[in-house]
Amino acid sequence: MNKLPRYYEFFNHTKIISGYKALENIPYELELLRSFRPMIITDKGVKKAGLVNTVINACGDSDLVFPVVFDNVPQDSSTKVVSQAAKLYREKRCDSIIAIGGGSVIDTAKGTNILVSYNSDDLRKFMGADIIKRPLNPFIAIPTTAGTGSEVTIAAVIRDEEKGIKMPFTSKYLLPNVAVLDPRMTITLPPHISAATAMDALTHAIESYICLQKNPLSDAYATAAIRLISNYILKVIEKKPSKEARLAMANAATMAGIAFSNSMVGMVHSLGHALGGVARIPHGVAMNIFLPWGLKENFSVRKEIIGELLLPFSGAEKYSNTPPEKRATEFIREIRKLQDILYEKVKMPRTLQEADVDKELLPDIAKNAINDGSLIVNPIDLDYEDALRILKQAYFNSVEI
Amino acid sequence: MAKIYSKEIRPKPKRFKKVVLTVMFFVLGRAFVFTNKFDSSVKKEISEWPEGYKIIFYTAYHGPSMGLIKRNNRIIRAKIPLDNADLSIIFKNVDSAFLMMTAQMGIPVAFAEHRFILKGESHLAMSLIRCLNVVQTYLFPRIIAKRLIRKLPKIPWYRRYFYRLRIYLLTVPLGI
Repeated sequence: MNKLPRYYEFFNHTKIISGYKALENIPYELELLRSFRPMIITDKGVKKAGLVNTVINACGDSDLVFPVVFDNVPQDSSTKVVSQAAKLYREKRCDSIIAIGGGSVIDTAKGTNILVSYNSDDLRKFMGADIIKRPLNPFIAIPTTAGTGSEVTIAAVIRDEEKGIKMPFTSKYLLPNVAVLDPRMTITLPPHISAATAMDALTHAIESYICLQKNPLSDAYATAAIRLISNYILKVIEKKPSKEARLAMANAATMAGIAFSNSMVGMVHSLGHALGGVARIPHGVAMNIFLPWGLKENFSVRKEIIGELLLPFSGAEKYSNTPPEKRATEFIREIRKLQDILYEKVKMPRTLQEADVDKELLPDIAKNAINDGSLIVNPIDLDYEDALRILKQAYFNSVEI
Repeated sequence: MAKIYSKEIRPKPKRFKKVVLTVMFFVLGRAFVFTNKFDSSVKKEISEWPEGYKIIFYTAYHGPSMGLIKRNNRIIRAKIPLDNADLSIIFKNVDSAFLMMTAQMGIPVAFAEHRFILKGESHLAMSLIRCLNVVQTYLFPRIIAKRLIRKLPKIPWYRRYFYRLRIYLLTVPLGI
């Protein structure tokens, strides 16, 4: 039975506008924020796919002017890119930011917004929790992938190019004022990317539900996200997914983002961040590989809580037909079944071997994983030997139940 | 008409908790420095920190604090201004620090309950937590340590007892 935590905090002030013709409301939302010259921050892929034009065209017949489109965002946001964007923002006398893209674009926009709002050139000064103490300039986020949830998180991660480290920033003021979820923005996603981002969102929801910072409000968002993902993940990886499926996944990713922004993620993300950093494996693929392992490792202390997730994931009938003591195992089995389907349909790797990870890299991945901050709220702790053992098991095998 | 009192009300300072915190920071600081001298796992962690790395445990507002700095591959206690630290562990109030420093709450739970924030270069925070796990394992009996630490470091019982006695009899009072 879910107990109320002794103490918890929950915060999310982002206005979410979702659905048909949502983009067309951007001029109205910016007017409410007294902004008329937004800078667009995006990446080359998004621009090439025509999504920037879709947004600009949707804002037709308004008082908005777009002084500049900054499309220089790389796969991993960095201090150099943020400084370039901030310089352009000032030069072009912009008064707000619209981020169109995935996690890296939205994180770059958050970093840029810190610099331009504080009129600073040194992002390092703002690194850490709650260093930003006042509202930043108006900021609208338009996600083009349904996974990261960055449009509703209080965090940004930006690489310090000089020191070669990833700098975390957390502050309630980093939350965008508005997040726009429009099915037109995920139309260009190929099925294997849709599958990977969906597994990322699913992992956000599951880890936020089982980790130490869970609370009743984040639980509500997490279970709602799991329900939507379970219902729509196979529909969104079809060749021509419906608008309904795309919008459902965008909503699920946002809900999962709100959940984990308020209750954090755990060891699946620690391993995934390390795998991404060392072996350059896409984050969603890493989440897919490690999710069952995370559940299995936490099983001994979170069995009942993991079992509760069978209800949103598999529905009331399956849940009620499964004895309480078998629900956690059954949930992991259901995740495994989903992985097999995703492998069959889009060749989404289930093991490190299927992801072509060099076995020699496992010690480095283990070392990085135990230094990842996500581990702090994971129900069980991992040392180097634990991390290496899991990686070795995840190399060849899927979880056996 | 009701009389309106306009006298300012200032909440009372929490002197007792501040005194206890000062003592606990002193004990933890000395125990940390000593553990760094003999425990190989702590030595290994510290060896990977950059020389001159500065950590501060600070209690808002203007409460007790403890500074640690790496010099010559060793940890020493030092007075570090809050703005000068590479990594700051800032307790939001005296009561939050009191809960953690009096072994009523472990680091993961304190973090999950937002009792403190991390400021600065936090990529070594997990390494610091692993060191603190070892220090707490030497400081507290197993029954208390189990409540604070998710996975107890593997230290033989005779070693724990010997160094616990050593820490409380020599290290804390005499600094040796």
